Amino acid sequence: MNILYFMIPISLILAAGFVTAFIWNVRSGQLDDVETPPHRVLED
Amino acid sequence: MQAQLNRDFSFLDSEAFSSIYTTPENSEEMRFYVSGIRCGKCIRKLEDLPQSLNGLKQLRVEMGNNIAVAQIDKNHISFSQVAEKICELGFVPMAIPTAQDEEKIIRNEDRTELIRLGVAAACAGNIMTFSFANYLGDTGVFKEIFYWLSFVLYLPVVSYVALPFYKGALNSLKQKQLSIDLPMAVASLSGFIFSTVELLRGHDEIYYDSLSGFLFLILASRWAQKRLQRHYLKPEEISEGLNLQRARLFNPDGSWTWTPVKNLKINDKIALQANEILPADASLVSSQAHFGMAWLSGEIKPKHFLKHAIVPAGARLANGEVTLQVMNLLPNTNFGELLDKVQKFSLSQNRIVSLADKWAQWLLGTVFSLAFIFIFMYWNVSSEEAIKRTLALVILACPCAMAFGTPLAVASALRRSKASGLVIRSANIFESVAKVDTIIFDKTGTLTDTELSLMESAKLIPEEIKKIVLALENISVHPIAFAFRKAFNEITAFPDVSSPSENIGTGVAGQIGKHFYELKKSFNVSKITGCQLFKDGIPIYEFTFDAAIKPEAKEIIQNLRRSGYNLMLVSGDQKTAVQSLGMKLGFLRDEIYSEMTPEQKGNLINGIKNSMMIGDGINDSLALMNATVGVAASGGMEAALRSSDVFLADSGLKGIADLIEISHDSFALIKQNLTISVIYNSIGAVLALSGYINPFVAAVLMPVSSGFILLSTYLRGKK
Repeated sequence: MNILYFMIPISLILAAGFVTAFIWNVRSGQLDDVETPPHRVLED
Repeated sequence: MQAQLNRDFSFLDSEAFSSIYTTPENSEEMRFYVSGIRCGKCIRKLEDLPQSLNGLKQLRVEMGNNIAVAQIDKNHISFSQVAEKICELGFVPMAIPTAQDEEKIIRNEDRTELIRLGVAAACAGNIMTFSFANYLGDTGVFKEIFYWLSFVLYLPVVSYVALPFYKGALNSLKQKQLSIDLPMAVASLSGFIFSTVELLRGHDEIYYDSLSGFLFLILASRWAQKRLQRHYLKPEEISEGLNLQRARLFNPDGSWTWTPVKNLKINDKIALQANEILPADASLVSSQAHFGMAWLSGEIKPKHFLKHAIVPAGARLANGEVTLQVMNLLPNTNFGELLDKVQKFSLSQNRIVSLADKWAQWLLGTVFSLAFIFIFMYWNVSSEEAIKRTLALVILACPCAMAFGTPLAVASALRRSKASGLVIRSANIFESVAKVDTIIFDKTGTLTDTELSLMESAKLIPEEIKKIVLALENISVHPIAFAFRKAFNEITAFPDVSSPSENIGTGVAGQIGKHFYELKKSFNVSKITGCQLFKDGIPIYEFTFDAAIKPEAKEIIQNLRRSGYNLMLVSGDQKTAVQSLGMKLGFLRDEIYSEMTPEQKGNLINGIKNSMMIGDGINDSLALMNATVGVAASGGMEAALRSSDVFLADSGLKGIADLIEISHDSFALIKQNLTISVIYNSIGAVLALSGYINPFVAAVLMPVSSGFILLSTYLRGKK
C-alpha cells in the first residue's frame, strides 16, 4: 500500500487544480448564463 | 403599449451616446435588449449574423435576459448598422446602458456564492473519500493519516464555506432574533472543535464528513432557491422607460440632434413627436398640445395643454409635433422616481418571509433550550456523550425541512401564477391572499375596459357612413378614432379625403368628393362621450362611446359571492354611472361607493382588515397600497408593481380566481409541510438525546427528511 504515499498528494494536487479552474471559470463569467448554451448546442 | 418602431439608430454612433452605451475599456462592445428571442432558431439567426455582416466580430445571446452582446470592429462597421440588421431579422433591438453598479454588485455576489459552493463540494467530496475508507474498517497508520487529511480538508470549510452562516447568526443575535443560520453556525464550529478534540485524543467520534456534507447541502439548496425565486419574480417585459434615453435637442440654429436624456439641462428646448413620451417636466412652447396621461393618471382621454403649461414627464404626445422647454430633469420628476423604483426593485432580492419563519424561530428556541439543559444535566454522566448527542440533536433538528418546504411551495405557486398570466411582486402574498375575506373593486379599467368602445352596433350603421368616418379619422390617434377603427375593423378601403384636418379638442373634418364632412365631439347631459357627423353643416349621424364592461366581470363577481366573500365597488366616477354598472354586475346598493377621491378610497380601505383591492395601478395606488393585498388590473406594469402586489397581466379578471385558488393550495401545502416537519423533529430529537442517533446518522437523515418534504410538495403540486 505504499503507493498511497504517492497517490494521496497527487490526488490532493489534482483536487486543488480543479477548484482553481472552477474559480477561474466562475470569475470570468462563463457560468453567468446557463440558459442559452443548451439551445445553442441543439441548433448546431 | 408597444413603442413605435423607430428605425433611426444613427444616434448610437454619436459621441454623446457612446459614453452611455459602451465602456471606456471596451468601446467596441454594446449590449442590446432584444425582444422576441424565444427559441434556439432565434439564437442561431442572431449569432450567425457575423458571418454575413463584415465587421461584426461576435453577437452573443443571453436568452434568460433577452440580451444580445455585439462586438464590432469600428473600422468596418458601426453600431447603428448592427442595430438595423437585427431589425431586419425581425427583432426589436434597444441599446442598454452599461451595467449599473447595483447589477455589478449582485453579479459578484452570485459568483462568490457559486465559488463557495464549489469549494464546499470539493472539500466534502474529498473528506468523504477518506472517511469512507475508514468506515470500511482499515486500521493502522493510514487510518490516522486519513483522519488528519479530513481535518486539513475541513479547515477551508469551517473558515470559508461556513462564513455566511456565522455572519447570519451574528446578525440575528444582534437583532435578538433566532434565525436558521444559528444552528448551522453552532453545528459547524462545535462539531469542528469536538471532532478535533477526539482526533487528538485518538478516539473515533470524528464527524468532519457529516458536517461538510451537511453544510454543502444547505448551501446548495439555498443557491437553488435563490435562482428559482429570481427566475419567477423577474418581470418579463422590459420597462418602456428604456426608450426614454434620448431626446431631440434643439441647436441654436433651429435644427435638432439626438441627445442622451442624461445630458439635458434645464431650459433646453426639445422637440417631441406623436406617440413619444416626454422625458422631463417641461413647459409647452407650442401653442397647444394634447397629451395622453395613461402612465400617470390612467385617464383615457388626452389632456389639453396650452402654451406655457407645465407637462409632467411620462405624458405621451397624442399627435403632431411640439416644442417644449425643460423645467425639471427626469430623475427629479415623479415619473423618474417611479422608473427608478421599478429598476431597483427588479434587481433587488426578495427573501421569503412567512408563517414558516415563525415556526422555525419557535423550533430553534426549543431546540437550543433542550440542548443547553441536556448538556448541563448529562455532563456529569459523560461529557463526551453529552456533546455528541447534543450535536446530533442540533444537526437533526435544523429546521431546514421547514426552510425548504415553504420556498418550494411558494416556487410552485409562483410557477402556477406565471402560467395563469399573473405577475407577482413578492412571494409572501400567497399567505395573505389565503386570509382575505373582503374584495374591493374599482370601476374604470378593472371592471370596464380602459379604451372607449362604440356603443351603437356597427352592423346597424350604413357602410357609407362607416367609410366616411374612417376616412376622416385616418389621421387621428385620439381614443375615439381607435374606437371607430376597432368597431369598423372589417372595412379595408375608404375614400380619400382632401384637406383633412384635426382640430385638437373638437374633432376631425375634411372634403370627400363634393361634400365637406365634420366629425365633432358633442357633450350631452349625462356626460357620456359622443360625437356627431356633419355633412355640409347638417348633422346626419350620432355616435356615443363608453368604456365597455369586461365580459368576464359578471361571472367573476357571482363566483366570488358564492364563495362567501364580502364585495364592494368603489369608484371616483359619478353616482348614476357607478350605480347602474354595479347593479348590472350584481353588487348590492350599500356595497357601492361612488364619487370617491383617491384619498377617500385609501381611507376606506384602511378600515378593512384582510382586504384585497383590485384597481388601476396608477390612479388607485393609494388604495392598493393600503389594502392587505393589492391587485392591479390595468395601468401598465411599472406603476402596478410599485403600488400593488399582483398585476393581472395576461390573465384578465379570471386571474383573481386563479390567484385565490393557488394561494389556498399553497397555504395548505405549507401547513402540511410544517406539520410533517414538527413531527419528524420531535421524534428525531427524542432519538438523538437518547443516544440512538449519532451525528453521522443525523447528517444523513437531514437530507432524507428534506427529500421527503420535496416529494410531498411535488406530488401535491402535480394535481
